[in-house]
Amino acid sequence: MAMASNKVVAEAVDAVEFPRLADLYQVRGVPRTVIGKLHIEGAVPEGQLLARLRASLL
Amino acid sequence: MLRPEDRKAVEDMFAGGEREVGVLVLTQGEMPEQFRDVLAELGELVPLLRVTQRPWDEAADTAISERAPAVVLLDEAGEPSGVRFSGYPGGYEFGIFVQDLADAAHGRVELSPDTLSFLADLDQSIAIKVFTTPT
Repeated sequence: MAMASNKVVAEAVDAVEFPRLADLYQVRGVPRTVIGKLHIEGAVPEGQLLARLRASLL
Repeated sequence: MLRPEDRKAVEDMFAGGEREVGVLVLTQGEMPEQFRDVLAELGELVPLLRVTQRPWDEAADTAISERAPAVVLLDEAGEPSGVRFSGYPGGYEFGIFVQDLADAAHGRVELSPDTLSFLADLDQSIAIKVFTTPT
């Protein structure tokens, strides 16, 4: 998504390298995707991510 | 460092790609030898790859990355794109990193028409963080 739009920044964060940030976002398992208030545990298929994003931006 | 089959896979992934791909590595202390070596090997395999590195400067570089070490993909103009890795990508993440580079070399975005339409209509910025662990 970040490659397709300059409005999107996608950051893969190594939770071991940045433990305080991982704590801040309550990372208990990986992958954990955080977009504003939206937190998703586990891998998310593109369609599902899009649906969650649309709902969270409403 | 890379196994022969991995080297072949990398060459195949970039075959036909014509765009230069820039990567900016913002270091915090010494770059780990393992990542430095694999990056150098990647550079040998992929002539389109341009890697620059410098120490992260909190005052000057926060706009590029709020933390370091970080690996930032650059766009065609050589400016930071929205794709970045906080921490050196290793293991599974290294595969994602190489895939991202290959997509950039091909100017390819593999998203559904639905997603592309959503992105085209987007009127606000979105920051996506995906936490991973090196495996």
